[in-house]
Amino acid sequence: MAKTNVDNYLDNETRNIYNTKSNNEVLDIKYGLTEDIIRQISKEKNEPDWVLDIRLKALKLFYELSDPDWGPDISYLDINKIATYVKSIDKEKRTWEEVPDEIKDVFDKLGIPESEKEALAGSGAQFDSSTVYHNLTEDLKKSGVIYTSFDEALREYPELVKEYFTKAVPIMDHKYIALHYALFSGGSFVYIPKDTELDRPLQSYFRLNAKGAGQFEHTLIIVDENSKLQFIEGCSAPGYNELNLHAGCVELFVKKNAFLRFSTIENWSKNMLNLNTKKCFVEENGKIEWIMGSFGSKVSMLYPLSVLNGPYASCEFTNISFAGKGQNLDTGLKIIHNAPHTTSVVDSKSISKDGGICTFRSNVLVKPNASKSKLSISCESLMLDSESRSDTIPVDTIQCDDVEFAHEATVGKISDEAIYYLETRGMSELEAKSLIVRGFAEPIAKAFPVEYAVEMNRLIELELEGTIG
Amino acid sequence: MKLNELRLKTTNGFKVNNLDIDIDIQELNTDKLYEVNGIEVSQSIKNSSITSNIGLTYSKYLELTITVDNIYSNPILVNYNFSNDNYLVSKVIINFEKDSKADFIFNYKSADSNKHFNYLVEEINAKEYSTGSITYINNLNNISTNIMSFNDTVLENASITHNLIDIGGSIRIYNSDLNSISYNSQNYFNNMYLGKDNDIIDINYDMKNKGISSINNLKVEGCLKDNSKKVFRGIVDFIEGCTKSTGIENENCILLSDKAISRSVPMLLCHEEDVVGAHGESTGKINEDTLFYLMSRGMSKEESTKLIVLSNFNSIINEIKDETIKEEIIKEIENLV
Repeated sequence: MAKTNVDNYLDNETRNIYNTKSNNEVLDIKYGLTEDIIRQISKEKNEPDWVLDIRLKALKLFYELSDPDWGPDISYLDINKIATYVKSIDKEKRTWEEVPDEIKDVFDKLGIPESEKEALAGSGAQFDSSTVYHNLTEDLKKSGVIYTSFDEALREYPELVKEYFTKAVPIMDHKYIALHYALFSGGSFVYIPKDTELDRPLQSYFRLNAKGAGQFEHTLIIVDENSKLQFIEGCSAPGYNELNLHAGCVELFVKKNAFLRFSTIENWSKNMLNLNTKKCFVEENGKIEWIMGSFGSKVSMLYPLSVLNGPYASCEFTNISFAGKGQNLDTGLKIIHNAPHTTSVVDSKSISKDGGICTFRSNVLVKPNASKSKLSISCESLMLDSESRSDTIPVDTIQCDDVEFAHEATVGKISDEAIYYLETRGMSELEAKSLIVRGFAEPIAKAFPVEYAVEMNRLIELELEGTIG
Repeated sequence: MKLNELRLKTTNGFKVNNLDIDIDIQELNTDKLYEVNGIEVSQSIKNSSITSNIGLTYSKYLELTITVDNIYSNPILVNYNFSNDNYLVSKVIINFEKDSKADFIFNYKSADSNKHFNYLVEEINAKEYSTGSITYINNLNNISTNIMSFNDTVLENASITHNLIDIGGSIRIYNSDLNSISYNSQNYFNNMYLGKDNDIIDINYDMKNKGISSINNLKVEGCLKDNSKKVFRGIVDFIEGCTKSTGIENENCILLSDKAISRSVPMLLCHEEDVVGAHGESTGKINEDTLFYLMSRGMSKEESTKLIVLSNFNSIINEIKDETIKEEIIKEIENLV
């Protein structure tokens, strides 16, 4: 029996710009998950047979696999009540002027075209199941950089896509990745050729607008040898009193001596089930940096995996989660050290308030061949009241003696001494608490690009409103 | 059978949600296995099933009840000497009455090279203002099995310290359910283990802060050599209402072999704002700088390694309140390392 009783408070929730709803025309909408629907989606996208085969295999797996027997309860999700495909536009556009006004207005309010002009090397925007806009600067196109929607990449670069698609995240990984592969639509494809450094980031923004809909975008990024890329992923949705679903997938490949910084702010509305999957393979001397902020959603289950496959490969993982009333954010990471001299550094923070639940799961595996590897994991949790929960659940498996591994975690409240000090300097108790929360999050905010740091601070402000801010 | 199930399950891929192992369940055979010095003990063979959260059930067991209502300055020694085909399923109940104080040492040893089996379920009830320490020494031979379940309820201003010195047996399974339930209730759990050959060490400790200003402190120091494998699960759980409480867990594991495997799940669960909670964990080989320093002072690599491992264990071994036993254990560890 589907349970979509999203808490009543959501109706009154003010999420400012993020709550903007578009009355755009929907060209096609499909509910549920059947073979017929899968075939229709594939036909509309004019996909090759091998892609349809993957979709059909994934469909079968989805019905065979069980929900996880750990983590938050998501058994109330009834896929037949989700709009699994919502087409908003016929063909993606190359200029913002071509994008229909109802859709463009939303992205204008989110500041996406403005960011592109000021700070980005390329930008993409997805609205429900459709990519509405994708563009890359001419000089980068000429240097061989590919940045397109995933649908377009399947048409234009089928061999390149086939070489990497499903290779980082296999379709049988778990039930909701099977769902993703059955229904995937939109997303971004990036290929950075050898010896190419992008001085400005690429950004893809995913907006889920339709009530009761699902979004299943697929992002595939390959950073070839000696190259560098910063990629920013933004996600948001307006609030409804029906369940929405996000089951996206990100596959990343960082080649020898390459660097990728992948930044995300997951700012979903609080009626969203966010079951996202992200994995990255890193080769010799390559580096992946994950910078993540998890704010919205009713339930999130998100644990990016980094596989350090080459000597001297490294991973940095910086994360902040903020769970308020009615939210259960079960996030974390997985790291596999599969080569000597590999390094990973993890810094995670979480804030819980008004009965929100933050769970941090870290799964670390150091394989026998990963000698001289170093790992350091630090997680800090801040509880703003006793209705909330903050759990830390690490699993650390060390199969090699010649490693340095350290893991530490702390949980606590805002220090009374710190509040007292700020009060003696003229602040009210509420102002003092608010400042301390921002200070707690500051090291993470510094890791984000400026616009996203501003968005993160704005989200913290929104979360604190009505309680301590 | 599945033993030591984790109270809060996590991803199955890393195989830590339980221990899947075959245990040979046999009939009770105590045959005057134990002797007790310094205190009156009542005993009875029970026919109802023994229960513990470790997951093993036996229909028949030996129950020893020790009531403590005085202050004992000398430790109370309970010696178990296993020989022939001895195996023991026992439940030990210790009641620390109000204001009482006592230290216990339970010393499990093999007198011969036969395979022995020991399964203990402990139940401690610590009344107000009582203080107690219970030290368990597993020094069974290297083909034996040792399974222990520690359970306690600690009341206002009472303090219980568990020490587990774990150096014997090839299969070692431990579990705890320790509850600091009232104002300033205190639970301290110190565990040292040494794994060798193909030893399996499986630990599942659960400590709950329920009372205001209660304290839980879990400290685990280990060393794994050869093909030994260890899973450590530790939960410090702050239950709503336990304001001003402290819960700390620390685990350090030295790996002396590239075939040894260490798995750790140090959980910190928190449903209370005003607490101090922390866990720390480190795993790796012996610090090369320390080793180099000792070797530069004329010690061999082997001697230096022994010294470093022993120094890691030192704080827990020092909790043994019987000098003869302490010396015996240090010698045994030196031989094993």
